[in-house]
Amino acid sequence: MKTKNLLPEILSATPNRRSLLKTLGIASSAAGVAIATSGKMEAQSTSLTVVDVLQFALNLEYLEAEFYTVATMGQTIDQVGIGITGSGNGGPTTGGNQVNFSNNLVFTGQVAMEIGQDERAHVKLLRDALSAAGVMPVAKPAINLGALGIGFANVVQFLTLARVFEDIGVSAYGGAAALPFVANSPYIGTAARILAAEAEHVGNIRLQVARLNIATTTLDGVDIIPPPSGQKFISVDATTGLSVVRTPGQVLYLAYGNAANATSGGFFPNGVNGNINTSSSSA
Amino acid sequence: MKKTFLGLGFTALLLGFLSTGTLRAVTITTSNLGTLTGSLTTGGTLVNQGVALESSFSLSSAAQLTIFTTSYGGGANANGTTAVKGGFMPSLVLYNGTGNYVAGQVFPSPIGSTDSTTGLVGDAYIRTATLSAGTYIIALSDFLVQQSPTATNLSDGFIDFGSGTTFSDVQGNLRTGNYTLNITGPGNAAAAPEPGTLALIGPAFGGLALWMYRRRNAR
Repeated sequence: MKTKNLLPEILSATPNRRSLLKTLGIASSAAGVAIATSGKMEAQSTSLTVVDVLQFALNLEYLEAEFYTVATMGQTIDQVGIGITGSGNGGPTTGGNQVNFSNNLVFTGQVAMEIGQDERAHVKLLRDALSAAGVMPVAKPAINLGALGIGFANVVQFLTLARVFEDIGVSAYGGAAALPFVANSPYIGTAARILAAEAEHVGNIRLQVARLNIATTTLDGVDIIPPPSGQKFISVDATTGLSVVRTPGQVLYLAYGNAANATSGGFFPNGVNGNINTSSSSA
Repeated sequence: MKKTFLGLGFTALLLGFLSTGTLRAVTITTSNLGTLTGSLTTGGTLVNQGVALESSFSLSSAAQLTIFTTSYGGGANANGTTAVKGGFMPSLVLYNGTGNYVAGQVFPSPIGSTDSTTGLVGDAYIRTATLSAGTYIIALSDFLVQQSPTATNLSDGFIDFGSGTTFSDVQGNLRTGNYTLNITGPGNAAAAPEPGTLALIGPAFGGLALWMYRRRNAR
């Protein structure tokens, strides 16, 4: 199989390809992307580009990096030297604290440290990629790590929230990578490697969730939860063998606290920065 | 000084935690190592597998510490002596004076020796950030004696997933209750480097920049 033919095959095998394309309004023009609002297809004032996707990804990486850094070090990413300034509205990170990782049996603390290092590197990676392309990265928006009221009291809470972030992260990169203007850009190779990193993260976190017998609940219609609440240790569709994908709008639906057609809420009380900023309905 | 603790707030989670599944009481033994100046090496024997040793010490000024055991695989101690291999596979956790978590161990220990009998590196290792002056508690136990995943403080105690009597490592090799604990104090530790992640993907940035430059010029 030639590499250039791989993407269409992946798209055709993606379970929710139809809804993905419909939600993003992708027609014959690669640049003709729209965001669904109020159930209607309304074109945004500007056509989206790979830069918009990178900026969107940067918002999500800010969130993940803050989560792991606060949980493992009790500090925010700017306090450990990660850049957070840029275009849009910057804001503080609130909520969260260093987690008691005293249980060494499944290496939760050590794994969290590793993932945190990866997520901070992803922030730097995306910021440097944008800067190298002559684009100012978006600023870290205001983040409320305590949006769900859990995540930091103990290992159970931490793994519950980490599982949410990582499964969403994998689906977000999978969904974004399927966009034609991303797939045809030089970014696709790096995006694939970030996706692979996120997939390793979620596989590890899910095994810990299962091993520690932590109950989980489904986030939306495509979420595959691990044991003991679910049946699959790995969040891959058993029929296709592919990971779950979510459109940016579906990702923001979750990030905004299960809010459709919203521009803020949940983990982003003032919204995300960049042109991709509106949630759609849930996946 | 000894006290017995059973983690009771964790019953539902524990029922499926390990196949053996039996909760065991953990006996906590405390000691005071005094004010840390330089390095120290201390050792002894846990009377059985269901014991956690909580040793307090003080820092009179800010310091970065390296805390490690040598009793599983043997090797050089901080005081210049050589530890004998054969001890239990340890778990190390550092808390502050109020029992809040400070740092957990790295596995495998980057400085641990391989036990020639088991072929395993089984010792524990902690490298802290710079700690402020104050009192700290290092908890040492068999690797199957852990705080519960719902614990928020050292005062929540420990749970024993092992036999409560004999020591065996993660591969079932029988071990002794011997331990040797080392703490390298102020001025004795080297900085830990961070890997240069960016260097690994730098070429992708160049490709993206070139691609965007061409797109802009094509318009």
